[in-house]
Amino acid sequence: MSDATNIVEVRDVSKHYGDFAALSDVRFTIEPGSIVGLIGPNGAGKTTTLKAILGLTDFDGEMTVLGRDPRKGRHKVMERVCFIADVGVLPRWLRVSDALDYIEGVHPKFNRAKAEAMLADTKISSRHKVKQLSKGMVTQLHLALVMAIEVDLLVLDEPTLGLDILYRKSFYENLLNDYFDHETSIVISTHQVEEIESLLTHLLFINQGRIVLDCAMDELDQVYSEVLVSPEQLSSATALNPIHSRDMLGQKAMIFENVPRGELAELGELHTPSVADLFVAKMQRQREAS
Amino acid sequence: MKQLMVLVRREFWENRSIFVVLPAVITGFFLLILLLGAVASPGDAMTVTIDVQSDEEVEFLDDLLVSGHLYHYALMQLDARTMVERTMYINAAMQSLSAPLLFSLWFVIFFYLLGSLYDDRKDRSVLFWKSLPVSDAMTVVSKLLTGLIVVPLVYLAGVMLLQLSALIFVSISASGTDISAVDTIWRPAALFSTWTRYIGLLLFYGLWALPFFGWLLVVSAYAKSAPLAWAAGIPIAIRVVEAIFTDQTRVGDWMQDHIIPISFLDQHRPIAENAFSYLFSLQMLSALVVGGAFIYLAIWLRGKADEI
Repeated sequence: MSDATNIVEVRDVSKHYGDFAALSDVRFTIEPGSIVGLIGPNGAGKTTTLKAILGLTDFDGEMTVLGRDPRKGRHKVMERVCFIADVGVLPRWLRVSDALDYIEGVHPKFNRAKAEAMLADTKISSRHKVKQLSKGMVTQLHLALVMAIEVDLLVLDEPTLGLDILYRKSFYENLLNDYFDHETSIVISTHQVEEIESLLTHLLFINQGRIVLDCAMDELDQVYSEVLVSPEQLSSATALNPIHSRDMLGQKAMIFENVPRGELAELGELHTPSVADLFVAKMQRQREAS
Repeated sequence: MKQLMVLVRREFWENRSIFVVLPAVITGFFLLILLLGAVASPGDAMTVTIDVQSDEEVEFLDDLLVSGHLYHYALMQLDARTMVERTMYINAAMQSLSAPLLFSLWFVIFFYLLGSLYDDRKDRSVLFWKSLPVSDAMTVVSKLLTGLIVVPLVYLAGVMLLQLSALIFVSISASGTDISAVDTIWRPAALFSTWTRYIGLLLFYGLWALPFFGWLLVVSAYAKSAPLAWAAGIPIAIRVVEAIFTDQTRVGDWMQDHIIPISFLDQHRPIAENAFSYLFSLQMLSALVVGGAFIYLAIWLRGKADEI
């Protein structure tokens, strides 16, 4: 294994449903201890990408997860990977105490006491069945089960979809405070950028089955700049090929990619674009290109 | 092994109503009828005796209607018969008592296996089950083990309870008489060997019908909708095509033999001995090969399974 240090290695992975290309030559890596945001609009290929990592779907190309091909031996991969999909994948008939029994019975790295301690902080009783719980409580339950498993990679696919703001906030707070220890890597897919922006160490934008941005958060300012351009500087700014431009209080907010900041500084007020603005820029650019 | 036990328990959590509640209700219902029989007056006897007696014994029932206490009457009748006759009547009664539970069992296994790899794809919980380190082979094996061994044993426990109760009730009516319950009932009933035969037959059917059960798992793992239609439709289609385009029904007959329990047996011979003579037959070998292939296919399909 040449890249055993990386948690996930995705190399030119494609996936077709008939004529529809769900993924086209996707490649990226996930390093140990990183929190990667896989961000894209609905139908961009986020879930397909995550399912491929988890061995839940077939694909063309090469991928290793913790040194293994997830298509072979999914159950081996799952000893070191946990997964939460959007709400509602816990079966409705499952009782909380049975869920604990089950995971304890099948997962060598499950810490039951830890899960029970986390559940004690919620309104969930061990006698409850999943169907008796609200959406938010089901997510709390799933998070408690998963956080009690010691793994190398946690995969979250739109984990807060359909939850109200209180649950969403506490979900990410729990995740960051109680779980993340800089040894476990996390991949979170979402189409709500703002919510996870502050958590991330890496950004992956995906659209129409292609990775359109792959950047570490702390390198963002070296690659991307946003400049508030005043009207008189407009032509010189446009000459530097901004990837996106929008009106803002009579000025133009332009985003540049790989343009040295020295060249931009004289055009106007300079800063690093927010992830949300960058996302919009990238998505629109790809739409225009295609 | 520990993992397999947890997986079987999981099946019971999900299917409690048909694995535990249903057999308990059926057993309870017939236990109640047996109890009523213990206190029934002759006028009520007709409805009760149907469960206790074989249909060969119609005159037995007629006599009963004019006699006194139900179980006491049965005891006296048996006492008047030879050992061979006693065995025959009691076996018939025991079989009648087992019928409702075993009949239900067949349908329970059928619908259980058909839903076992389908329902969790339908409700998306497959994403949860597959997020745990349980192999697809282990998953499929746990469903087979549950459906072909554990659940039949639960139903069999109900059968045993009913049969035992019936014999105990009749025995109680022997107290105070000079009739020996041991000789008239317990010895001819030979419960232990009867039960051993039941277990043997259930295991035999599990192997004999492996193509059927394997097929249900394949459909369950593959179908995106209407698994029942696939499960029934394809064998029926094969039968029809065979009947139309060839001059024979070999495939159709083979399928039927391996679906309907003990239908292929000569009904005039003792069932268990008859069945076990097929244990090392070529037809059994064909069942194991086809069944094994279906199970392998079901495991493979489960590996590809996604939410639907």
